[in-house]
Amino acid sequence: MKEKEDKPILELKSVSVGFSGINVLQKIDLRLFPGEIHALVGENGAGKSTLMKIILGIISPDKGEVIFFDQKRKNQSIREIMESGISMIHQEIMLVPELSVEENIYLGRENELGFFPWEQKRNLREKVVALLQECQISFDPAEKVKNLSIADQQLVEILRAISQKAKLILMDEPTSSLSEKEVVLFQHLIQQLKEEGVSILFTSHKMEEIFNFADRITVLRDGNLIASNLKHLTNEQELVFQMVGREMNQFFPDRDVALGSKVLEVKNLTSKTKFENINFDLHAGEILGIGGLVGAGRTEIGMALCGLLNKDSGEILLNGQKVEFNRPKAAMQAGIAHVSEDRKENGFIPEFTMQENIGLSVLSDFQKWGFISFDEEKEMAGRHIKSLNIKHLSENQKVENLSGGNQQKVVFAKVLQQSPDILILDEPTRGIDVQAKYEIYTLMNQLVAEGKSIILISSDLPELIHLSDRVLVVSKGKQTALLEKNQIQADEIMKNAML
Amino acid sequence: MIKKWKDDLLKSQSGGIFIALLVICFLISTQTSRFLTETNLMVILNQVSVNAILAFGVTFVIISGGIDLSLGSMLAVAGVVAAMYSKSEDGNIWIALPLALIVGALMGAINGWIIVLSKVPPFIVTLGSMTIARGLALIISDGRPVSDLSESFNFIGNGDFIGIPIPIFFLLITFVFCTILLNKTVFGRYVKAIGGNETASFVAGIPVDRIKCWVYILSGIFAAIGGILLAARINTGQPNAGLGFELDAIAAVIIGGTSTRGGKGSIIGTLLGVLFIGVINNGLDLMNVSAYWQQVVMGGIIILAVVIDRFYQNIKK
Repeated sequence: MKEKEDKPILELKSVSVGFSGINVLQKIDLRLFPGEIHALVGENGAGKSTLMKIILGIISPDKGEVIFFDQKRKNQSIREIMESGISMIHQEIMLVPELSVEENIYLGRENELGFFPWEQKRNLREKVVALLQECQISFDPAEKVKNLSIADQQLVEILRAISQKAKLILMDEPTSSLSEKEVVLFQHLIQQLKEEGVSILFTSHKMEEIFNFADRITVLRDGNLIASNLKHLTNEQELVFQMVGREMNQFFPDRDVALGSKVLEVKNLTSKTKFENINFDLHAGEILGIGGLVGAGRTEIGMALCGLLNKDSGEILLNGQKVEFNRPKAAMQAGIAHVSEDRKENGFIPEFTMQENIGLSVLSDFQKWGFISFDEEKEMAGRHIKSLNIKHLSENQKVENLSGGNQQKVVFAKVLQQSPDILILDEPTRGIDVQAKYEIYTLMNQLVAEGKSIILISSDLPELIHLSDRVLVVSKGKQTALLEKNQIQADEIMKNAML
Repeated sequence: MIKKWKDDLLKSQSGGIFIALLVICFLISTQTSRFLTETNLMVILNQVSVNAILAFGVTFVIISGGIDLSLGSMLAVAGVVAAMYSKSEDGNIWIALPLALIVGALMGAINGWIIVLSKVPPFIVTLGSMTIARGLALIISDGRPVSDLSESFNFIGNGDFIGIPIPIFFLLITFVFCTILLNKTVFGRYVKAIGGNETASFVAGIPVDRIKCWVYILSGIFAAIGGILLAARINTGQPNAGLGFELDAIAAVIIGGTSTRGGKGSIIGTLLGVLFIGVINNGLDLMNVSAYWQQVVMGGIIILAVVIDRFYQNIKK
């Protein structure tokens, strides 16, 4: 390999770090070469984010060395580290929405543009236009960032990193909020960076994209570096084995559930500007998928079924009875539960412990005269934590400090405790690892085997195809197909989604 | 037992302010021997009781993510109402006190309703109701202090039981009540949940609007209790009483480690915050610092306390 001759731009030597006595990373050795695109994979909680924070200097390692450009790092401020050529693109967009593209790119570095404001303004435009040309991106530099799509905002973040003359860019799940089309654009951009000798270290849970983008793939498991594979010498199977520590022959558990009676019927459901004339029914023991592009109205249909969005016309029949839900509580009492696509926003209280979050919807079952029965609540939460295998450091750990997959399990536990008959799951496995995904799929199978019904809204085609008994496809707010089991195929779904 | 309690306190959100309070007590006691005496400590507790009660109530508001600027004005209205029905010739405190509490609750309810229904930020709504309530206090009292009040009313503010002034009992009872309400009840859990993440709370089926209303009602009732105590202490219903009290109460809550963004906070923290302010006031008095300078010093120390506290929280992490 050519890289072998080069000197690594970044080298970690036996880096270890722990929090409150628990080792989070153990003796990590990692080398990154110029122009290398390096994927960092592993389950949630494997230590990926911690490793990135160490490279960026937010966390100092307890033991070991970080060597960047032949320089051993000691006591540098984050600013100094960034100026030495490392940039980070976070999972959440970190731009000022009210400022323009160009202002965001040079935010905090205006002094590089000259002394006088008018001088700065002229240089800013010149530099940004040059930058855009160089990257072959056509933006209006004066456009306010809030008017851009999420993907374009992500591009602005990357442009900012480039303009900082970064030699190493860290990206935490850079594509998690991008559509398929935008991912292609993104890939193009990082290839270009690679050609210019910039190294990229990114995390991802999407196999396809890991193999498409990366030159080298490093696997972390429980704080240990398991392997650094060259892409062409490994395959998906091996990678999963390294990640979960055991053979995983299938990503989707088998299911054999006979459908029961009709539990839910939706007739001509319409919510102006969101969706119109949606018709379907749902049986006990069924998983009904809802497919379509992001923004096609899938999420809104789910919200209308559980009292989060008002319908304008149409009917919802629950066990033959007409129902109207004006708030989530009403839907909950009727036996409909909802897991939102945005767990941070709608799923949990960040400051609360697992127990407090799990009990949130059913606190009235765990109280006497308004006083919480802490023991009963703890016992109830403990059951869920055990059965869902929620990994945590301590019982009092705040949910905001759990990994994404475990946060999602807390949300599931909260919803399950409502003992619903119908579950509406909106992107239930977004941003979580293979193992946790498998566990959630198994849980869904268990639920339908118990005679419950699930509406699964998902952008993950394999997931939709393998789990659904039928798939409703929507496009631009209109229902374009209701595919039976034998018709469910990727091309069939995509064709109808694009109609 | 005490050691465990101390450890918990040091580790909790209020650890920083607890240390700051000890330091300030130590500093003052090195300057004047009159500080660390039983009588003086009693005086401090008595002096801070009104601010403490206001602060306990508004702690719930702030944890829920709101703010209540109308405390001082609600206090004045309730004080005037209590005084008007406690006249020495025909007054009856068993009518006056419940009535004052109901008036406080009503004003709080109106704050809550407007905030919940209009979705206007609590800061604006209570800024408005602050002025309205002050006007009401002046209208019902015709702009004049209501004096010549009954013995039994006077007793609430100035009497004592087993040698301890009555207001201190009010302070202790409300402290215990609020601590239990915040930490042991469904209501308290909901208040923290709403402050922590309002949308998630709504989605989880928590009656967000109703809880928010109750939080402002609570704040109104506690302002009314404060109003009764103050009117009883000065033996007058003053329509101008409590000017700026809301700021002292809010300052105490924030010094006590309650987050202004909502979601977390504690009653013990608020009590420590109240004591912190009270001790400094008392200490400066004892050291004969001029009233003008007291204000300057007070403000500076409040900022310093919060700065040290944030610093302490960071170290703890």
